[in-house]
Amino acid sequence: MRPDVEAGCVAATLKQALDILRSDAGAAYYRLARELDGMSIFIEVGQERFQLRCSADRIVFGPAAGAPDVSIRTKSTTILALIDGKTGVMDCITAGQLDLRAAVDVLPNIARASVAFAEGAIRSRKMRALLASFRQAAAAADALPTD
Amino acid sequence: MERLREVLGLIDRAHLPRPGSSQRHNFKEWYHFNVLDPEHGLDIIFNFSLAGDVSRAGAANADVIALCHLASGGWFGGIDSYDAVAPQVATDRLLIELGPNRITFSDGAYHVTWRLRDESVALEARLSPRAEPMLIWNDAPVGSGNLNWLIVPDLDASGHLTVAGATKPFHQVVAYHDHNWGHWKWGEDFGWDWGFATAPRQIHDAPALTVVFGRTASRNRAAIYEQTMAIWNNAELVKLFTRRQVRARREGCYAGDIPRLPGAARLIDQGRVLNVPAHYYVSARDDGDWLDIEYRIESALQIAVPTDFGFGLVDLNETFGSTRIRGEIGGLSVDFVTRACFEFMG
Repeated sequence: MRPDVEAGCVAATLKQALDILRSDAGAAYYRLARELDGMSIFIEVGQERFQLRCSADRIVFGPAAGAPDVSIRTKSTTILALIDGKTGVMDCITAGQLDLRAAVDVLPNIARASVAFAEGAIRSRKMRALLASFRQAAAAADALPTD
Repeated sequence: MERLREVLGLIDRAHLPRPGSSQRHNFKEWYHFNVLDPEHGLDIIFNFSLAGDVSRAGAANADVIALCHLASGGWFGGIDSYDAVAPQVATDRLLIELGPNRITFSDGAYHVTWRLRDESVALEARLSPRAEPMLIWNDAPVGSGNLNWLIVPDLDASGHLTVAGATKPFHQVVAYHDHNWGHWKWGEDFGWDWGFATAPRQIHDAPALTVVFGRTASRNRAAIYEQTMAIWNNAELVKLFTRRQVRARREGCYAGDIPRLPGAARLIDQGRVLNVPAHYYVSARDDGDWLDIEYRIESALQIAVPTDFGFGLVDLNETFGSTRIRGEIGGLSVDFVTRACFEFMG
C-alpha cells in the first residue's frame, strides 16, 4: 500500500501552519479557533489519521473523549488542488474527493473557519515556505512505488 | 528623445521611503512591464513590487510576478514572494536585483532578466523606449494615501520567453512600462481602471499612435475621482484628455475562465470571478479632438491582494484583448484595431 505522504507529515504541517497563523496573523487564528470552539475534529489524509480539538481559543492536537464532532477525509493531492485554486470545496465534495461529516448546524462554523485559515495563510510569507515543503513531501510520496 | 533615453535610467529610479517616515508601513512601489506579440499569440506581464516597511526585516514583501498568456495554451506563471530586505534596490539609478531577477537601464534601454523559482516562466528582454515618458508625480490621492506614476508608453521589446519548456523568441514587438510608488492601504475605498494600446507596428503609413488611459474611482465605481487619456504620436505626447473630457463604461461580464493568484484566494471568495467586463468603452472629447476606444476582453486573470486591514481581498484583474481605436487628434484621422491590455482594480 502506498502512503499518501510520509508518516506524520500532514499533522506536523497543519500544526506548523497553525503556529505560523497564531504568530503572523493572530486575528485569523483566533477567528478560526472561535468558530471551532468546543469541537473535536477527526482528520484522515491518505494513510494518516489524527484528531484535534478547540477550546479556550486554542487548537490542540490529540484524541478527544467520545466521537468527534467533525470528520474530514481526503488526500494530499486534493488539499493541494484546493490551495492552488484548481478546484473548489463543493466540487471536491460532490466528486467524492473530500468527505466532510458534521451536524448541519456546525457547517457554517466550519465554512467560516476555513475562510479564516485562508485569510491568515494568504497574508503570511512563512506559510508559502511551509506549503512548498508540503508540496515536496506530497510529490515524493506520490513517486513511491505502490504495493 | 535621445536625451530622454539618457536620463530615463535616473528618472525611473526607486523611491524608497525616507528613514523614519511615519508612512513607511504603507509604502508601495512597483515596476510593471507588458509585452504584446499578437503575431505569435503571446502576452506577457512581469512586475516587481515592494509593499510595507522595507527598512525592517520581516515587515515588507518583495514580490516577483511573471505571467504569460499563450493563445494556444492559456495562462502560465505565478508570484514569488521574498522578504523586502532581500533585493538590492538602488535609489540613484534604476537597478533592481533579487535572486535571478534583474532590471537595469543602460545604453538607452531596459534590460530585464526574470525567472520564477519553479522555472515555469523565464524571460530575457531588452526594451527600448520609442516614446517620451510621462511623469505624474503629484501624490494623487488613493484612499487616505497617495500614488505617483511614471509611464513609458511605447517600447520595442526583443528577447525570449521560456514557458512550459519551450523558448519563444520575440523581436521588436510592442511593450509598455510603468512605475508606481506611494503610500496607500489596499482595501480602502478606491479602485482603478487602466489600459494601453499601440497601433500595430506593421501599418507603416498609419500614425504610430499609443493611447494610455487611467482613472481612479471608488471601489464600486459609483464615484469617479480622476481620469486621464494620454495620446502619443510616434515619440511625442500630442494630446491629454482629462476629467470631464473622458467617459468610460463597462458592458457585460467576461464569460471565460479566470484563474486566480494565489489559488488560495478561491478558498476565501468562492465561486467564479464576476467583476471583469466583457467590453470596455472609453470616449474622449475636446473641441475638434476626439477618440473612442472599444475594447473586447479575450483573456483575464485575477491577482488577489490581501487588504492591509481587516480581512478580505482586493482584485487586480489583468486582461488582454482586441481594441478598435477611432478618432481625430489635431486633424490627424485615426482608425485601427490592435492588441491591448487593461487592468481593473477594486
